[in-house]
Amino acid sequence: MRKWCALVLFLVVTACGQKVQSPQQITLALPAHFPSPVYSFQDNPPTSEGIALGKKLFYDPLLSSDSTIACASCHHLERAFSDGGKMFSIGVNGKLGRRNAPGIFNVLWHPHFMADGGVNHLEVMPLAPITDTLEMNEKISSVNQKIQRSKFYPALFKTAFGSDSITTRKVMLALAQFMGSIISADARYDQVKAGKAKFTQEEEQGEKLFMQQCSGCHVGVLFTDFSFRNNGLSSDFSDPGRARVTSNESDEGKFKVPSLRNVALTSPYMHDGRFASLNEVLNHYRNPMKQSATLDKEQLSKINLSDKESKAVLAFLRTLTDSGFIRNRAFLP
Amino acid sequence: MKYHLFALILLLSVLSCRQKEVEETIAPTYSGRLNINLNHLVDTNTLHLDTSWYVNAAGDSMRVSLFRYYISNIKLLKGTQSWSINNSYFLVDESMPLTKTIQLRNLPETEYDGIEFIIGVDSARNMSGAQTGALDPQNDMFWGWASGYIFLKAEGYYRDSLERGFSIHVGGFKYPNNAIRKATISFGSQKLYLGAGLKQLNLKANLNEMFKTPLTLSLKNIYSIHEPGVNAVKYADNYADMFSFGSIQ
Repeated sequence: MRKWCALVLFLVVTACGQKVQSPQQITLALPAHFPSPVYSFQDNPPTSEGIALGKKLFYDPLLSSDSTIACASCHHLERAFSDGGKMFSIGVNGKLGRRNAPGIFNVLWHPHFMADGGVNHLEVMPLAPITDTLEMNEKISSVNQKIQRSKFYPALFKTAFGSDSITTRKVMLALAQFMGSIISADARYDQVKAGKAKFTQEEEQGEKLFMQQCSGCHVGVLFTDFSFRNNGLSSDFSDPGRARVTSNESDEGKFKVPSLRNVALTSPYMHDGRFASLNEVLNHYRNPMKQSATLDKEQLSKINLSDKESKAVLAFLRTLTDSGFIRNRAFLP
Repeated sequence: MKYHLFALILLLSVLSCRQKEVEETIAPTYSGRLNINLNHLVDTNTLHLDTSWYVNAAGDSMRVSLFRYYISNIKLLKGTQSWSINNSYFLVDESMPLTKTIQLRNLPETEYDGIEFIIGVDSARNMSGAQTGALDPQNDMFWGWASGYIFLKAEGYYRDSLERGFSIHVGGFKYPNNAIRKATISFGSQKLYLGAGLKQLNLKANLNEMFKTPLTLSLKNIYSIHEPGVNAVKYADNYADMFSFGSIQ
């Protein structure tokens, strides 16, 4: 009997020793009612090991110059991965960022990133916050070196990507896999559309008003057309917005139309976080726009909503909160 | 049905034969070896980093502390034909002598009369996510906040009333601020014969071309560029002709 046990143990041990660890490929469940994604994981097939590695990197302050700031320092799951009520986020050495941190979800559908659209691909998105002196203030080469020198990362990279030599590309692919896996498509709104729930009367009225007044920019199931528009916040532009990237005068004061999914969780609002509440946002649109040369055509005149109608629109916007998503432990470390 | 299939196979084989023929006219074998040596100059003077002062085309006294650029999409020219070297991306840096020799292997063994390449990185690679090798963003030639490669960096000091720094970073791949420039260099009366031995193609890169023709650019006016735009385009237009033929060995 003992001999048998020893034999079995021996077999198990040798089996483990010889096991070629290949990562577990997975197919992400993409919501059926969403369009086809922009980032399709071509050349970066998602695996459970790759996603887990990306998550580890996302929560690791090692990515910053003094190892104090992780991606997750300014992107919290319970706020749909935005920075919980902060107008500007705090970076290395207590510096304040220039713009309000956006939520992170459904990034597979984004044709570009950042409020000015300066980043053109999911795989290079993390380079912006890592190298920004107001955010993580680090050189990519240092990030790679620190990861290479760590006790556990090389083995994790070997499992996920077949080699333990760390390159920028592998770090970016892992982060793209994790961020790409963050999908939010099961808000009450979605349940209503799938016939599994019903709007209240107020929400229904809110949806109708939203479709009439807001859906010119906040289009479709992603609630954005990803265009850049000047929404009449100001007439002089301390932040040039899209023009920072294009150096084109006609882009001054234009910022990306954000998705409104989970919008009730991502306060404050606008590129500079100037509005603390959704009510303030609606009041902005209900009042005359600040005139300027680049003011958006959709918004040349204010939106007419009574107080009651405004409340209804707010009620509708709250149905875009995906409470299952922000409780999904798979996105926590 | 069978007939159609047969016709299709015949057509495909004819097509593939034709393609082979075109390749065979370039060369019968592909074991040519070529080193391209880049000699950095300021007009006729060899570029020495940090210590030497030069006078540029705008009359500025300047010294250079950093000079690096991308060369990509290299093509060897033979009359109206050409041989493209796939995935050819090279980062040349004056401070790293090894990078000033570009080693090309497995080239068609034949005679060439010119070379063509992009100064910078083609737009496709500016939009295709995380890259490796010479294009790895850790090489400090990538703008994180406005995705895209920096095609050329020249940094140093110039004398105004005081000694001041300059930092010219040229990049941008989108209209109207596209700074991708193509260099086409003829070997003149000479020919490059690639056969059994290793050949050396010596090219000159004159840094002073940054400051002359079509525009005379003074560091006193533009001493700092860190984004795509009109100024980057001006410098790209100027340095587009900075490469010239030296010799073949």
